[in-house]
Amino acid sequence: MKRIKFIIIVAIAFFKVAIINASEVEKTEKDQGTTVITVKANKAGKLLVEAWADAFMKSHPNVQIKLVGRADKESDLTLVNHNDAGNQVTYVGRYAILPITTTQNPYISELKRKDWGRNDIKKLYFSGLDEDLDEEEESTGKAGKLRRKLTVYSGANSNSASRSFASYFGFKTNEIRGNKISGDDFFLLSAIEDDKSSITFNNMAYIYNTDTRMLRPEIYVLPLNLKADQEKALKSGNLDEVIKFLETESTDLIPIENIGFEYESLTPEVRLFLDWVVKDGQRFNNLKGFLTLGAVNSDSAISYR
Amino acid sequence: MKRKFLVIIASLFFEIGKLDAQTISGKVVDSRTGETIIGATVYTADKTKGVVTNYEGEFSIDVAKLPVKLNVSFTGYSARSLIVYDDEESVSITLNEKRSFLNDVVVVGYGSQKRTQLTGAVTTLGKDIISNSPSPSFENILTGTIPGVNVTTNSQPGAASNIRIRGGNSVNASNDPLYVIDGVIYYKEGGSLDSGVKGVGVEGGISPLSLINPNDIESVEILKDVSATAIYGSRGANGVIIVTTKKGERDNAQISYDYSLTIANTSKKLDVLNAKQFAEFQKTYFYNKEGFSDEQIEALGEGTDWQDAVLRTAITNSHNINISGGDTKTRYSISLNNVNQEGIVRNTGYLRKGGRLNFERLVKPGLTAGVMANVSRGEQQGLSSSSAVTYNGSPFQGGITNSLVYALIMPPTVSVYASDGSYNFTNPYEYLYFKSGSTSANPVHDLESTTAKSISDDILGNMFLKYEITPDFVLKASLGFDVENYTQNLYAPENTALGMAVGGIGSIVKRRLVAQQQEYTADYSKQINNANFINALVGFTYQNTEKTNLMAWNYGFSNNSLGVYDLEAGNGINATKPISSISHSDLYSAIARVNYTLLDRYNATATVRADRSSKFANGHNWGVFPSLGLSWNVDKEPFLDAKEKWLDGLKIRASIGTVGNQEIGDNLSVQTYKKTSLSGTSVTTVSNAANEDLKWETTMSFNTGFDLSLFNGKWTFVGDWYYKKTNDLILTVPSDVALTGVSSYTANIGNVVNRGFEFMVGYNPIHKRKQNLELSAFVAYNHNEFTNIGEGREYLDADESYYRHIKGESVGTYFGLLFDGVVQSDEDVSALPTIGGSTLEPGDAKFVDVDDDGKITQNDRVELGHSLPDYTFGFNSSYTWRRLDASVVIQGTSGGSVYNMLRRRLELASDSYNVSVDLLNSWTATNASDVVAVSSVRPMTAYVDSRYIESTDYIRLKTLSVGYTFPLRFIKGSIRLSATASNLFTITGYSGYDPEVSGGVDKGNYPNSRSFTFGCKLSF
Repeated sequence: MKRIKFIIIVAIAFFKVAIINASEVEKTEKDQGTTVITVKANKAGKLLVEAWADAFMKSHPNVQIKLVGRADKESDLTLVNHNDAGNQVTYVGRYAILPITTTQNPYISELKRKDWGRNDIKKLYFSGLDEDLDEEEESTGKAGKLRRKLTVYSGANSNSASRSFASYFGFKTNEIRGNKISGDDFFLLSAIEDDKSSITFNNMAYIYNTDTRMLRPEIYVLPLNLKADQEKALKSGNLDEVIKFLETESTDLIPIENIGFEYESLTPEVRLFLDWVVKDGQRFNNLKGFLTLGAVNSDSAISYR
Repeated sequence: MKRKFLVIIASLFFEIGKLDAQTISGKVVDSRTGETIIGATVYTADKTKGVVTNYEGEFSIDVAKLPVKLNVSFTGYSARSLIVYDDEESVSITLNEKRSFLNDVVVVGYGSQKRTQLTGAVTTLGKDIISNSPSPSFENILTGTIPGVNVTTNSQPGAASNIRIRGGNSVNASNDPLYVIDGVIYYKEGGSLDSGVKGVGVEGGISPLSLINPNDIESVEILKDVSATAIYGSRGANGVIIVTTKKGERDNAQISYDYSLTIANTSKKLDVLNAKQFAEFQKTYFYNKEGFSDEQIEALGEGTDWQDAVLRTAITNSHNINISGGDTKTRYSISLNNVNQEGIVRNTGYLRKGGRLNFERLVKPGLTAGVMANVSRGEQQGLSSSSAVTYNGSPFQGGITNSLVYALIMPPTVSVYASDGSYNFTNPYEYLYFKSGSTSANPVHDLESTTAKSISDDILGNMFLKYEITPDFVLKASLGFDVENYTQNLYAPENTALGMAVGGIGSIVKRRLVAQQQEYTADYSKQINNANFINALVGFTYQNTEKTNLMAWNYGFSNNSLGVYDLEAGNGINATKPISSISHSDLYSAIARVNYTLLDRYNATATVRADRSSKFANGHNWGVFPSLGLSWNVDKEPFLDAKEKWLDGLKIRASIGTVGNQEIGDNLSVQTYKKTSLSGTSVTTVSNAANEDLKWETTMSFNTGFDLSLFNGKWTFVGDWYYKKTNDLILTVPSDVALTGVSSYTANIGNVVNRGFEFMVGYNPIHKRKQNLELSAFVAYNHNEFTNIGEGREYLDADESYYRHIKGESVGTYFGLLFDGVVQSDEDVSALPTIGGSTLEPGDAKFVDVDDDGKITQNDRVELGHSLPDYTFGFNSSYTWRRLDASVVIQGTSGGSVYNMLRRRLELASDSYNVSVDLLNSWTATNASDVVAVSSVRPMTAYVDSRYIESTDYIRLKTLSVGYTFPLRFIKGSIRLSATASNLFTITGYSGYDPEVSGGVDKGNYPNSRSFTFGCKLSF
């Protein structure tokens, strides 16, 4: 009996220690000549960072790049899609945001009947300072009628694409109507799956399968009022076609935002990694559903350091 | 043993179970301000788990699994829900405030409060009204926009307007509200300084408020009832106006430059005789001094329009630049302004240059330091004035008060300029009053050559340290100061009306005021059990004020080149020695206030302030002023559930309490002496008799009201009813000269009551992102009366014969004879009452013989009206559509009167001066007028009569403004162009220049102007 008690007490202690250890942050350390750089990123960014990390570590074996959880308080680099005032950021790429719904949406036939322009997007997705703003607009036009029927889901977290999407159309995040989710933007796809009469918007890297290079079968991209060749590329469902037109042509309907690594201080190894990403690493961007920096941005990306 | 074993097993399973539980943590903030929301409820959609945010707005909630839907709610905000999919990051929830004015936060004394928790009557001035007003003085912004606030505008540039909140409480103490600017209690007299030369001075003077730049103002709150004002104790009796200046927004650096150009003209001219009419008049009734023949009179035509000669088109240029911004620890705002405002009377105007700095920084966690400084210089070139003066041995009872009035009565047959272009100093009609030898005064020359300048250099500042021991418990210490050097220079050369009799007058009066204020407060807030909220404030304040005066003057200047800056050059004949004085007053105060809210529905505010003022007699210089306010948020009651979407907010409130008034002169309780001359010998006499019982005027007031907001803020209604009684009124009462040495002294006798109501309705029919229309209208009624003038008294004479303090009548009641028409040819004059022992003749003015004793004397005088209006009303509207904005303000009053002394002067026929065109209708044997008496000089009474107490009812289009904002994308800024018309039209029956007459008597007050302002504001 005494032995059983002892074992049980030890087991409890073991679990407690395990729980504590499960939430510990991994810190940068020098271990026998190898430098570890910790990087924090969201789900989509992780795939790109992993691609960069693998390629960089091959050519720089004395540097180890480790991805840490978003809950971890400290990391050498954090992949962000905003540049909050006062923080240092090096831009490493861009991402595009598309308005989407599920193929199971009961109003999809109405959505398909129109090419959605800028004002239509505003009517569908945004309200003013309160829900009943734009009452007159609500009742007019296809967008106005669908507005009442469709729920909008958007991300509430600081790194959500919501901020970029709202800002692109001249609004603030809290002016996106509908429901919020907390968590990675990836879960917006779950939200619209659960609530079929809803729409959202998301990073291209989430809505296309980067392996098959095709649009996820459950996702429907709202048809936008684009030029003929741009429309064709979007409707093709092919990621590379879409990337090609976004990197070579401009439109006022698809928000494109920079992503970058935010850091507090630059060690030589971190600087080396960033330099590599901005130049050699760009070849992985399209692969993982992101856009490259582009000629203008690559110069300004370096100057931000 | 078995039990112990089971407990251990259970612990093990518990720990294992905890591995599956998810902890979601996050923060709830206001979407507009970013401020954390304390006490918001966060609960799962199935309502099995719920928590409340802490003082940092943070929460932590355990849920069984993810995803989970959380609902968040807080009073005054729209509820929100969100689905949590992962717990890797802290959840950030923003709540949108419900659009209801009851959710506003208002600045109150020594703090701020949410309007839902207020128990007092507090009105906030709309930001659009502040930003769209073209006036360089913020007093004009208050006109017609706040129920219960009556502003009588003084049209002279830079001069003080008369502002009353809910009527006047006092006769001898000030009726001005208290101003608090960024926490500094700002009180000082404006107006003229006594120049020392009897009856001669500078009219108007600089308003203390004109030194505040309206562009610097962020918000204005008007505290009207005792629950709101009691915290100011002895200074809160007349209401409090709290001005908060701009501080800068965090993470939003802004630079703006504002320029405006205003063109103004007089909105009205008075009708006086032209040259032909004047010459005919003189020939008919007097001596035809210029010897015109009838043919010459016919050829005279219009002659000289002296009003046009002294009035002009006035230009105002205003520049303002502001730089503001901040970050998480710092906020700053810096501004510079320059206003050059010409007056519509020649050689008058106001120039202000100033700068303001607001800076605050979080020095260490919890410790904030800040400084505010306003530096300004105001220069006003005003009208020189005279009242009852003796020139060359001839008395002149208040007839010609300034150069504007003199111009009105100048004979139109006399030209402004001589044939060689120099000033014309020849006037065959002028008597010795304004004539020396062959040289007569010329009002245009008087305006251009007379210096009547007021200069104010002012530094108003405040420094504070605020320490948050905990977020609930805040200590604050502040030091405020106001240093003002105020100068009035008067110089009238020997060939001007004022200087003629004595060979030129020069005087300088200087006043220096230094006021210091220290405040120490401790503020504690606590939310207990979700149901109870308590906030307590205690503090100590000390203010001391020192004023020094210096006056010097001289006469008889042979050389005018240095003007007032060479007083020594005067010949000194009849000039008395320079005078200097000093006065000092202290005010010590202890303050305490408790706010309590139960269930977010029932609010109570208890306030007490104890003041000790040096202005009152020993033993009577402490005053304790308590108040209690209650309010009930009816819309939060279960029977008016939140599901009733048409009702946003309904609050009923009531308050009762006592405040005091200590704004009287210094040293009134003590015996004071002055030097004077008796038969050529210098003697010392009593100037003020002591009153060892002199104490505070106290005002007890009761207020009840409601605030109602409907249909998501589309309709708002605010109503108040109030009753105020001022006791121990400080009045001047007659005394026995043999005992006291003076004919009157100051005592606490009498009561004044103000009671009335205010009602305001607001309508916001369009509230969209790109289009907004707001309308609001109000009406306010105030009844003012003396309920007690002293034991056994029914009345008390005032300093002026046309006023009397009468029991049952209003403060400022006019007292005079009742005009009863004109004696006609067929009337029996023997049956009419005599005047001054003389029997009336056809054409004379008749008056009602009230006491029926057969003669018209002072005993036939009756109440003729009162200066305070019964009703004030206003309407304002603002509209924005995309980049276009427009606003309008309409205001008016009803029930008030004014003594039109100027009209009385203009209806006084004489052989020297011009008169009103109304005298063309005066009684003659062939024109049986019953309105205008005969124009020849006849026996008349000196008492004012009902013809000259006129109604000042009016309605005015005060401002009409349109603006358009162009974006400037290349600098991420904008430019707004605007056009504003002020005083576009006025509908009134008043015959003078303008029915808004500051001071209750129109002696020829500065005329109001109609103006057009074009503005340009660049922001980025």
